Amino acid sequence: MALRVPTSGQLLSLDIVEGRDAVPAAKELIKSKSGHGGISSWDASSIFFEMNSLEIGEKPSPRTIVLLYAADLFFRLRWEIIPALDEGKCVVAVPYLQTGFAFGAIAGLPNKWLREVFRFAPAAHESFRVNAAPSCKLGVATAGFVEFCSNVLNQDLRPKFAAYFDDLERRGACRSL
Amino acid sequence: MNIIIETAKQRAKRLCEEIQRKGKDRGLLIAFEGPDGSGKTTQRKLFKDWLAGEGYSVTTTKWNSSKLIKPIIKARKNMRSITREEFCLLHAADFRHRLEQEILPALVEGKMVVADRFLFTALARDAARGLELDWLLHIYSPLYWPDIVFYFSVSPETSGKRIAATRTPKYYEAGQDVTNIDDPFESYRQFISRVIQEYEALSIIFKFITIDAEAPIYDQHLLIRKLFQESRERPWPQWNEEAITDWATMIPRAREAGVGS
Repeated sequence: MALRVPTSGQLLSLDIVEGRDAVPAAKELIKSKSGHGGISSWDASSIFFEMNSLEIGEKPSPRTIVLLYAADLFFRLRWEIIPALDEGKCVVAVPYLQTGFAFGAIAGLPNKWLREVFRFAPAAHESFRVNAAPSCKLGVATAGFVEFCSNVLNQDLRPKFAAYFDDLERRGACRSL
Repeated sequence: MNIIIETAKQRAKRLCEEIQRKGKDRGLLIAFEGPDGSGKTTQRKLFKDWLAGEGYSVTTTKWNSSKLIKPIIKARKNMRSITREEFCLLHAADFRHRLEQEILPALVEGKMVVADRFLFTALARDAARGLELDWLLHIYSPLYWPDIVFYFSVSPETSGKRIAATRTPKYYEAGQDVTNIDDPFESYRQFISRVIQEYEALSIIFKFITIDAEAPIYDQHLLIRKLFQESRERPWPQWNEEAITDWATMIPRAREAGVGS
């Protein structure tokens, strides 16, 4: 089930609580590593963008959101992450697996189910998070995954995501950028 | 956050107790399963009309039909751009959305839900595409089992002939994404054989009611009526409790926050 992972290249995961941080933080991370590499961003498949554009009044449940996040992540692995690793490049996946797990935990989904859903995704070589004070105003639904989930659940989930990443960092599972 | 979880759990428990109390008054979920060209849609329509004529309130749900996710899948199918895993995850999302938004609410309201394809379509097709059944069962969990599954058994040859008589099989329908065969008819022939093999295995594991889909249409319909009447009343099955609780826990919480309101 797991995807073939190239032995070359370096996969770095970067989890954020605000979409606007994605590209600048990923660039900074690349600069601090090899100096060149690629970025794989949330919703490269545009599933969430298209769904947000439908304006049909129905909203997905947390479980449905996780399945869609997994579909988008598979797309990113296939088209962006694995090809770049094959070329020996450094790739920053922003966000990556922990963001999916964080949302699942916040929504009360079983950890076992989340592990199975994301079984296909290889572990990152190193994991980072952006630890910055959130801006006052929550971004629009298409700004990032946290914003999308916040919009669907009609509450600002940034503090909950931040608390989840704080806990990961305390346990040594990621480092602050 | 703890307070919200507790409230949601209590609410889930209350709803489950309420569902149990309803007992025989709940609606039944009747799934029509089988490969393309097995005639299940014809039988589903006949059955639905008959049920309505008998005075039942009936809801139909079709495979890959949610307003929210169907357009996303359709666009990607048209571009032939999805892998078997993305195909699986997107259909699972569509299924979950319909289960939560259409099927379970209708059952709780006491409606009969007639499903033109259900979970087993995904299991058969995705397993035929080479995905592990174990992973598929996890993706679709918590599983909600129908009360009755009518499986329309047909040979790969008959399925192929019936499809070819009306149209050219579509790219994913013909399994061209996994067979890599240019000719859609030949690809369909090979792919549907795998799908039917998977269905046959599922029909044994999950005790489907097998209907000979090569028998005359009206004979099949009369048999379905008879089998339905024999199994009309039954309590809410214990094996569905996890799915019902999950739904009751998640959706009220989501509704509190605006989902589905």
